[in-house]
Formats: sequence, C-alpha cells, structure tokens
Amino acid sequence: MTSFVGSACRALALAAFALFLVHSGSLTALRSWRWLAQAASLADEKPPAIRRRQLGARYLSAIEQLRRTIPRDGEYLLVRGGTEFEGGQYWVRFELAPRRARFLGSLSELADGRTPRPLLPAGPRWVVIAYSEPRPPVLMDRQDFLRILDDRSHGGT
Amino acid sequence: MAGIEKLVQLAGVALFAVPGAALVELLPALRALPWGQRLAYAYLLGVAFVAGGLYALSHFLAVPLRVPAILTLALAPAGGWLAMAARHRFPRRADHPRGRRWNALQILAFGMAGVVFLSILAEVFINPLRDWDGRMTWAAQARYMRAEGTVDPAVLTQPGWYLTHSWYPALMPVAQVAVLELLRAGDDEHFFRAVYAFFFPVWLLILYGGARRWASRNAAALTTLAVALLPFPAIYRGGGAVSAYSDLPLACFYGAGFLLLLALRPRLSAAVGGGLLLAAAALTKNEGAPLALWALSVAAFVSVFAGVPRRRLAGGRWRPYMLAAGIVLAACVLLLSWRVGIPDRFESYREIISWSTLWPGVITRVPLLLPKIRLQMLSLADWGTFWLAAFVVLLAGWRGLRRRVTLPLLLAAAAPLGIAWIAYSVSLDPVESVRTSWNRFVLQASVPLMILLTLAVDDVLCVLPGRWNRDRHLRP
Repeated sequence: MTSFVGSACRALALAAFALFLVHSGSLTALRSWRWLAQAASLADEKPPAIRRRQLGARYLSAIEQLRRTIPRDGEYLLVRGGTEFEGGQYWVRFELAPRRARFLGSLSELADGRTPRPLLPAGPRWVVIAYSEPRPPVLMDRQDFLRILDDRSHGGT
Repeated sequence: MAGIEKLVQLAGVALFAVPGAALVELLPALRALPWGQRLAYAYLLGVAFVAGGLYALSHFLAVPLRVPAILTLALAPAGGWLAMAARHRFPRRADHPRGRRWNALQILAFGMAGVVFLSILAEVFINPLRDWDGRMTWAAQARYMRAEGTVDPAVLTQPGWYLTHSWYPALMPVAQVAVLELLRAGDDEHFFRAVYAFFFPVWLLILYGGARRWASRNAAALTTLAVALLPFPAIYRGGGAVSAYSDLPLACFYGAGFLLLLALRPRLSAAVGGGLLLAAAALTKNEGAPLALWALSVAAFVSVFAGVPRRRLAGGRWRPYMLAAGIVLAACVLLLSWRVGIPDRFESYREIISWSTLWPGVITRVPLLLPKIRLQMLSLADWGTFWLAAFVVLLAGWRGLRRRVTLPLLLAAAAPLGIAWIAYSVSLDPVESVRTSWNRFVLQASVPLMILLTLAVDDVLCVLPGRWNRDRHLRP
C-alpha cells in the first residue's frame, strides 16, 4: 500500500514536471524563434540605426549634442527631470560617461518655491536635465538654469 | 557586412576562454573532467584570472588597463601551459574515459539549451544594453575606468561625483573594459554583452556536471532542461544573461567554486581552481565575499565531519582548504584596499537601510515578506510554473534527498537566501527590496539548489520503466 502511494505521488510529481516542461518549452521555443528571426532580419542594420530605433531619434540627437558640447573629460550638473523610477538621470549619465556628473536633485523639488535655491557647485558650466527615453535631455548654461528656477519658484512655468 | 561585424563580440569571449582553457590544462583535477565541464570551468577561470589579475595589477601597481597588459595577462596561462607541455609531455586524456553517447533526453536538454542560448546571443549581438543596473551601475563604472585606464578613476576616488554604488566590487566592469579595449570599441558599441551571455551555457554546464556527480544522467538532463527553459536566468533584463547584472556571473563563480571544493579529499589543483573561482565571487558582488567564505567553510566542514577520521586531518588534509582560503583572502584584501580609496562608499546604502531594524525585524517581517516572496516565485513571466512543479517533485522525491551531500548543498543554497533575508530585515523599504532583488538571490543560490532538485528528480524517476532509470546509482 505504502509503495503504491509512493509510486502514485512520484507519478503525479513527474506529471507536474512534464506539464511545466511542455508549457515552458513551447513558450521558450516560440520566443527563441521570434528572437532569432528578428536578429536575422536586423543583422545588416548598423549600430546607429539600431540605437535610433530603440531610443528615439530626438533622444539620440540630444545625446549627440551633449557629447559635442561637454568635453569627454569634462563635467556637468545633472538634474532629474522626471520621476526617480523612470531612471532618466541614470540613462543620461550612462550615455554621457566618462563625462563626470554632479547631481543636484529633481527639477520639481528644486523649483517648487519652498526649497531654497541651490548653491550650484563650482566648476561645471553646463546643466543637463535628464528624462527617460524617448523624451530628450535638455542642456543649458548654469546661469540660464538658475534663471529658470527663479522663474518657476515665482509662479512661472 | 554589418552582420559579420557583430560577431566580433566573440573575440571578447575568447579573451577569457583561451587563457581559461590553458589554466584548466594546468590543473590536473580540472583536466580530468568531461569536455563540457572543462569548457565551463575554462570560461570562469579565464574571467577570474584575466579580470581579477587586471583589477589587482591596476590597483596595486598602477598598471594601465590597456591592450599590452590585457594581452600579457591573457597569454600568460597559455605560455605556462606550453612550457609545462614541453617539459612534462602531458598524458593525453588517458585519465578520463570517453563519455557514453547521449540519450534522447540529453539530446533534447542540450539541444533546447542551445536554442535558448542562440536566441540570447542573437539579442545581445543585435541590440544595445537596455537594462537597469547594467547601465546605472556596472557599465557606467566600466566607462569611467576605461577612460582613465585604471580601476581607481577620479570619479571614484574624489568625493561628490554622481556614481551609484561606487564601492560595488568591480570584477565584471574590469572584464568589460578588457573586452572593449581589446576590440577598440566605441562608446556605443556594447561588445561586452556576449561575455555576460556566455555565462548562461556555463551555468547550465556547471549545473549539469554537478548534478551528474550524485544523480543519473536522465535526472541531470531533465533538471538542466527545466532550468534552461526558465525565463528569468535567460532573458530577464533585471538579472538574466541578456543583462549586464553581476548575479549570473556570481551564481557561476559561487556554485562552481563550491562544487570543486566539495569532496572528501579535494586535490590541491582543485583547491587552486576553487579558490580562484571563489575569489572571483568575492570580487563580483558585495555578497560574494561572505558567500565565498561560507562555501569554503561548508566544504571544509564536510571533510572534517563526513567520513574523514579526524586524526588524519593533521596529515595535510587542511592543505587544500588553506590554499583556497589564501586565494580568497587575497581577493578580500584587494577589495578592501580598493574600497579604502573610495570616499563616499556607503553613502547610497545609508539612505535605504537601518541596522537598528535587524532585530526584531528578522522575525517580525516574516508575515509581511513571505507573501511578497511567494508572488515573485510564482510570477509566470519570471519562472513559469517551475517552482510549483519543483515543490511537488521535492515532496514526492524526498527520499532522494537522504544523502550525505544534501546537507552541504542545502547550506550552500541557504547562504544567498539568508543574506537576502538579512538585507530585507534592515531595509527601510523591504517590500520594494523583495520586488527588485529576491529573484536574483535565488539565481545566486541556483547551482546547489538545482542539484538538490536533481536528487529528488532522480528518486521520482524510479517510477518509470527500467530504461529511464537504468543508470541510476546512489552515491553518498
């Protein structure tokens, strides 16, 4: 009797495992086929075209402009334009590396009128306001940035 | 033409595989393994040796992370192997018999794993990196290191620069730098992605080889097939082989290093291999160092308390463990020395953890966190119905777990999950921590965990007719 119960349990377990294999196997086969077919169709695409397709043309041209403006060994002030969970500041920092960033915080907090106007760290001339793709980052001079903060905290947009 | 250019990433993989293959030939314990295992260990040892060596040379001796140093380090093991071959004339493969032909289940498992791996390669060859931590932490760190040619770039050593988790161990970023430098890649050419992708077949091979030590080939093949079908380790952007997260590499280093040392009498060459892999684990992620020390302790514990008479331990039985521990401690010294130069090294953690909640949080958070963990494990997108099936198999095949090796495997699998639980106990937002990291901790524990599952699968298979469990064999 014990042996029968043991065998039945094992058979059930094997069935559960087999079910998983069939279900997952078919999904995996479909996905793999899709990925391989996509790779075959895009194999001749040049890296810039792939980046444009993935990140958006406006975002990419903004990144290119930032790279041209800020020297490769230069530095900039980084401001988060969107929410923290969009990660825009990380993606822009990654695209601009090895340019060094000093982080000022989120634009909404800096310009809410309640937070004291920040003392910008000495050095970096440029301020980059980062958004998540496909919304392009914005580049401005530090004086322009301070002016915008003043405008916003006095009720401007 | 652009299609062919994409394959250049394979040269980056060879940068680690070739020196690793030479290292395997230099270590008799590894040379005796079946060829699939040798390939897997070669890749891991190559990454450990080349990236770890560059890490140490750059930090201690200020050697620039440029092509001359990269190639010298990559060619050194091959030179050593050639010198040894000339002197000793290695016995050719007499020490391991030719493997039997694969059966249908093995062909299915390896074939399916191959298809999944090809699709991962297709993804990484075609697309740029689009994950979260890869771009936020690891690849960003690599870019700063590459630009200055050192593992101590100004952005790390000067205060105030914006870099997330600047004190995370940098083995994988150094590996990225080595590949990008060798291939003269531009900023937008993410040629390091294939290096991460190759950890997927390596992980499967290590798992299969480990499973075969204690289970039948059908059980090992079935588990490997199941694991190859899991979405999370393969295609998940938050830690799988298509990402640039360090969790899959850590799972490989930790699992493979532990398996090499998990023997009643590990050879000195196995200890060197195991030590190198665990040292790489320590240099791969924060939790790597405690995991490496834990793996060493568990393996030594097995030797002391499981079968070896204690009086014989004095006669050099400790030597392999001391050797492995020495290599791991050297990696820890490198890590600590490197971190000393990073001024705000714990800043980002101070905002998200508080040690004061450890007690009684470690107990009182159980009702809050267990349902969240269950949600992660039952996520169809990440794991399919794998954990449900695995749970049923473990229940039905529990007799397969009545083995001497179960306890050390269980202890090794529990360590990453224990670290996760401590992290959640001190986290100021434990629910979010579970959501973003639980699956990755499971991945880190995966090698010993899946071997345990294989033991249960082996027992469950005995319900089938003879040909399915013909080579079942109970080893300790």
